[in-house]
Amino acid sequence: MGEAADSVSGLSSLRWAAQYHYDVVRSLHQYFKPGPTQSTTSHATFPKPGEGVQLAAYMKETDLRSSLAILTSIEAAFQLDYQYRCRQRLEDDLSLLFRSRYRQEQSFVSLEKVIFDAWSNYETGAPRLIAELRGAFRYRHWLAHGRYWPPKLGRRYDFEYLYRLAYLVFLTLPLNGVDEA
Amino acid sequence: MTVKEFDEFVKRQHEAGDVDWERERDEWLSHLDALYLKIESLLGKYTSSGQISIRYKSIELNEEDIGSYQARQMILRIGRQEVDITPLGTRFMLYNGIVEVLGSAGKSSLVLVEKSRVSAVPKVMVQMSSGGEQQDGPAVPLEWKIQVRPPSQHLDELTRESFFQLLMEVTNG
Repeated sequence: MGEAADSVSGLSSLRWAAQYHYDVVRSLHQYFKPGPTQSTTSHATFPKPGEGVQLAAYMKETDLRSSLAILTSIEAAFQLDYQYRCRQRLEDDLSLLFRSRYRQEQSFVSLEKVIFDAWSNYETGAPRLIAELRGAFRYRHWLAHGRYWPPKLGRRYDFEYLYRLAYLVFLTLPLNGVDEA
Repeated sequence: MTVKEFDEFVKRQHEAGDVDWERERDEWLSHLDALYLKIESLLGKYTSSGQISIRYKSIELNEEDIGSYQARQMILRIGRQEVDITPLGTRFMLYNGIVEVLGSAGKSSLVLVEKSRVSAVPKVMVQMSSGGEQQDGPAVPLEWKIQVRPPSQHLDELTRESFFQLLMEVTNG
């Protein structure tokens, strides 16, 4: 694992996620290029794609998986911030609300029911971004729970848009305890 | 659920009810038509010689507040390659509209933004999200631009050169 892979949230992990995503995309293009079976070493040979397997399908799947990675990194950032505010006993309104929940529920609280609600109510300027995140997390639930129902999202999401949204979150919201290395 | 949360909920729903969503949809569709006209113009030399063909397909979009509506998808045929230019919608926080450009080798997107904007996450949005208030003012002119892929935040102008480069990238040309 590289050093960025150990980081779960923040701008550095976001950049790493983008690099990883586009490296995989480039690799897929290489893999699907017409030509003989490619040997990477004398011990390992990758066969060509199976019959009927399409580059477009692999690209779509890669986008879905990378989208989930971005959304989980946003979730991690909010949960880390919640824990930081409680453990460090911060005194602002948002932290005081979190601390009252922390006394009841300790380290785990619902991202959408507790954390998003609190940010929306106590951080000026956050409501619009939190509303956007609520929509994106409907997509996250669909991705994370097996995609077994037709999602009703009211719009399409993809890796690139979610990357921009996460970038805005990490750049503008005062999230504590998030690795910025 | 507190009274304050309910107040906020009622306020949000009331504000959403004030927006003329049909007009928003129609404005978005007219921007989409303008984009297609521009692409037709950029490719004029190739379409008139028959090297590139353009056709349209009606697709259904379904967006929050606006509901279900029909929009046009543009399909370019360049020899054996096909490029689908598909509208994704207008109800995005970051953009006034997004169109996906999908070829056999990849995808890119065109975004509808304020003419002066050069970044995918502009300063005004950062200020707004970190405390500033959104100001209601006269409508600002919008323009289609190309998103440079992350981690870059840059938006490229949509010109003949940048559009041709985009087409070559999504088709591995």
